[in-house]
Amino acid sequence: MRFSKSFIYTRRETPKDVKSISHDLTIRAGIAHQICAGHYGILPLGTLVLKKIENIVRQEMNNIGAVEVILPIMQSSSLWQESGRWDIYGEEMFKLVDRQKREFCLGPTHEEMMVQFVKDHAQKTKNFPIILFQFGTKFRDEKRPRGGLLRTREFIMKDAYSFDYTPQGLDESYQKVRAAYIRILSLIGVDAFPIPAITGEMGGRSSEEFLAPSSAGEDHFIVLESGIGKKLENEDYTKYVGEQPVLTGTEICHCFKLSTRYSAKMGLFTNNGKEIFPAEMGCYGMGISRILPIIIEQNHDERGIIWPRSVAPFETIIITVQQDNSKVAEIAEKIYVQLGESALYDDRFERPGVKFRDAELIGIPDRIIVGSKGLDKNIVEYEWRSGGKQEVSLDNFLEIYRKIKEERK
Amino acid sequence: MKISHQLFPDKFKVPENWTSLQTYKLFEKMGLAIFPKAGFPLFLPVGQILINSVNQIIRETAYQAGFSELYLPLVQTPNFIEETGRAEQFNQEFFYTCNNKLILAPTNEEVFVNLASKGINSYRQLPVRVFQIADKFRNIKKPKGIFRSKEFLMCDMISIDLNKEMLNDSAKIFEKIVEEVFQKLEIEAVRVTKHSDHYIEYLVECPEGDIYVSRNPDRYNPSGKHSSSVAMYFLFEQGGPFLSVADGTNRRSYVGTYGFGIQRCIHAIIEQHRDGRGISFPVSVRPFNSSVIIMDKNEPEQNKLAENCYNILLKSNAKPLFDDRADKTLKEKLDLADFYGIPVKIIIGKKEVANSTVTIKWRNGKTEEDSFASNILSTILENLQLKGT
Repeated sequence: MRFSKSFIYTRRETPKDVKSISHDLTIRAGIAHQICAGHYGILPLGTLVLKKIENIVRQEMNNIGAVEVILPIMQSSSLWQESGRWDIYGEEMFKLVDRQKREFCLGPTHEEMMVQFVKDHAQKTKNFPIILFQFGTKFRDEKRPRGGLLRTREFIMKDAYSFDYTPQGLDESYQKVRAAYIRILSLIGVDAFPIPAITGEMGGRSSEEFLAPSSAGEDHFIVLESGIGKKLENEDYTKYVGEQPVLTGTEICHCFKLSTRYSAKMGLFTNNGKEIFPAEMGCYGMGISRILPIIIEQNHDERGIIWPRSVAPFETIIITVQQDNSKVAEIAEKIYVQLGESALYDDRFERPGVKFRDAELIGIPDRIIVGSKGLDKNIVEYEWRSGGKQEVSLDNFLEIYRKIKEERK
Repeated sequence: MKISHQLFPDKFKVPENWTSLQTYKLFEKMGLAIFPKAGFPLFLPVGQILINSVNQIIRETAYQAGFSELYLPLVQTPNFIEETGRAEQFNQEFFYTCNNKLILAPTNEEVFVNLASKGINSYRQLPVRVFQIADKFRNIKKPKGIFRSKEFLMCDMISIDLNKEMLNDSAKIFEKIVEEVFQKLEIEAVRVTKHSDHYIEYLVECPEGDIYVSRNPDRYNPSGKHSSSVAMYFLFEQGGPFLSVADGTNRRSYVGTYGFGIQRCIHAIIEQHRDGRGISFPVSVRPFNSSVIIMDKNEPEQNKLAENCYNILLKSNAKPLFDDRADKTLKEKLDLADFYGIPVKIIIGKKEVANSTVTIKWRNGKTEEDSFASNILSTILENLQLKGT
């Protein structure tokens, strides 16, 4: 992609009212832009990152045999009345009416619709266990949206739902998804700890949330020797402070053993040939658009973002020191054509300082710098966002470049 | 995909009297989508595969042509669209949220132009060409399956251009994208000029359509054939953000808007690829490339051989459907594979196990026998031309 035409734009100054690093960097690096309070447009750089995260998640969910579907965003109030959550959800729910004055909401979550859907179509069959998942936009009318993409009114989630005959079955499905989540987070390059949590208005048997350490976090926790996290409530502070580091973290996933909380109320029954009983259900949310700022929280320095390779919007940025030098532009163009879509070509007529600063800010892992001085020696510079550089001869450039890249993986 | 492991095995069937069903009804009867409420589609696994394939083809083609992808929120304040005076065009079709009177995005031009005005300040940044694939919402009166739903998927594209020439270039690039996408999706559409050369629609013939077109020359004609729009573009002479141009003055930029209806594309594919036995899906979006049919699921030897075939095909990207249902006859299974347009069926029964062979039946008629299951791979892949993909 050519920088000049890419709709990537960066800012020098930290916007007002920004408290967290990720919020600052998502705005300054041109990842996202607020359209109205709590509703963000994701710009091209951010969209590329989200797509990479999505692909990793989809692959891992497919690997555990989960089935992808797409549920509508608008949901009828009658579903939520059945589960008893229409009134509980309160102000946080975006409600609307259609032409016939029937009430709808913008889905804050999809348990009700999943149960209804499985009930209508699976009762005759004996096909549990099953895990269904989707990527979709969710809505919660937060009183105070804040922290950029960390707490918004509209966000992208990957939500999964499991259905089993027995509590033991639920435990197995739960472990399967939990293990997949741990793999996904490690592939994406995010540190997070599963921590027993309170089920809240979701209800059910038990739940765990995955807290990712971040300076923007609103929860405090410690990591026990077993590697398992423990969330600190007010009274715990005095007990642990001083003994071991207290971390702040942000919830990025939440897994629930809902058990029969929804199936019993909404009539999703199954049978073992002798008696009928409500299905055992689990639900597993993963905040895709929240993982993005968390990656930034965990991977940055004072100059900008340092994207992990697995989710970087581009692998390489090609920077011309003098765009108006025809030889420089010609060589840069040639390299760009060779590298193809994995490269961003900074073809702007800007001062080199501006270009280097932008490259650091948007955090592309590899940089190839084409300048007239280097070309005199028939070389370009190959630098890494994480530090270090090397000169590469233009003879056999692609071969050498790929070799170095492979070695550094 | 193993049918026995699907939550909705009852959805895997050839719908009764399907040849007399209009495509929008057939889509639902095929188990591609259901509607929890009229106008709001829920895409089941096979429908989801189709949506993702079409999205991916459009996405790749748009990227190749130099468009960047972004994602605008689904909710917007109504003043964006009120300011441009277009709110009236959508009269009565907005969904308003109850507590804060926001609208669900019916379209996104205004929001994008507003966003662009924050990022573009120099003519050197133009043209800017972006797209997104996202849900849109319109509170319409009479939804019709996925063909016309209240919540629907669209790919909308926008260009911001310096002048008329650049705008025309953007339009030409979009025309090329349409051509490539329709070629890959094997959709035949006619390009029709609406009002002036600023407004172009790509139409396909279908009985559900409420636009009428006659051919040769292609034009709107009230006594023409029922058609519907699958893609369109509209060029605004003005309407873009102000920016400083080379001579130092401030000038308003031009805007072009372009779009594909994702659901309309899928509708058109099915409409145009129905044959006597089912839907002969184009290879680019075909949900399954092969079907492994097991005659008796309760025979361990047959199961073993079939699993073996299934796994080989799965690994080779031959997208197998594993028809391991116990309560269906061989004919029902063969008919289902034909209905989904699956080009090759691998049949495993008592005879095949005894002879260590499999029977291969192609949708286009050939029947072959191969001596060992593990060898079927090369034959099938060669014939499917999927080797190395």
